[in-house]
Amino acid sequence: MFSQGGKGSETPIQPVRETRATPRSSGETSIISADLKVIGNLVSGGDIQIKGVVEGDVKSRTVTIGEGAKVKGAINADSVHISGAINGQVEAPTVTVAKTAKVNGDIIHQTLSIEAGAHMEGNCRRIETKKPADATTSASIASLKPAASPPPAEVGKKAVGGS
Amino acid sequence: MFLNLGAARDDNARRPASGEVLAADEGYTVIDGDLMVIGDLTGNGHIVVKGTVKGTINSRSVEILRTGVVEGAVIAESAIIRGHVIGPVRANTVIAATSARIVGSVFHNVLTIEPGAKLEGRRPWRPHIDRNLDNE
Repeated sequence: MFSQGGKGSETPIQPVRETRATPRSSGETSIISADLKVIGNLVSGGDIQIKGVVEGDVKSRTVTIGEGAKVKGAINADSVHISGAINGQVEAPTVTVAKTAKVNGDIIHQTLSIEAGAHMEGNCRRIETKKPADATTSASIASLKPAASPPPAEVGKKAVGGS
Repeated sequence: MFLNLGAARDDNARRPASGEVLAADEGYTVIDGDLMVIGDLTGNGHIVVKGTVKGTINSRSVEILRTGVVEGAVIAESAIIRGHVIGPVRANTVIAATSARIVGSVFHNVLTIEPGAKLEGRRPWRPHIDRNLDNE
């Protein structure tokens, strides 16, 4: 696309200092740094990396809870990777629990991996339905937008012609 | 899993302007364009907002990018506003860039307003602004 340079084409070209209006779902990751504390909910259609403290629910596509991070609340995503501490329910088709993790709460999953050494307290339930978290994620995002106007009443269908 | 982590880090490294930023990875927070935070953010590092925050942001340095929207107070030592803020801004150094729109008071010690910035509200000067004190 940007064919002027002779370089490899994979580097995304973005302005350096002044960030332009990034398109929605830019595929970038949101980062909650180690010294940050969020009291409230996070809702995203992209990826979230949590290294700090979150007291609230997290809904996203991918959630990574880093080592040293603390989450107090439910997590709902397509894929969750846990290396830190979580106190709350995790619901995702793919859940990975690393050995440094400390999970206090239920895990609802389709694919679950727990590394030896992980601290787990809670139930692990497997659900069969395809992509349940996906549905909830998009539903929750849709619910943020103004509700679509109800379908037009079937006025036009009124018996015009009669029988 | 470890591969995944590596990939994520690689991703970060490829981000623009990340040289300075990634060095101080510890205190670097990004609220991406996709993310909506309903609640307060409190920290001591640098916060970049490209998405939406409905709540108070309190950190050492805050940058609201063009796509960023904050409905709530922005409290910092240094704040760069390129996006939309609905609520008070309170910082020692405030830069309102061309694309900024601030609906609310801007408490400042040093204020820069670039041409084109839309500031609706008072802009009171203060000798010093302590972001840890909730003073007016």
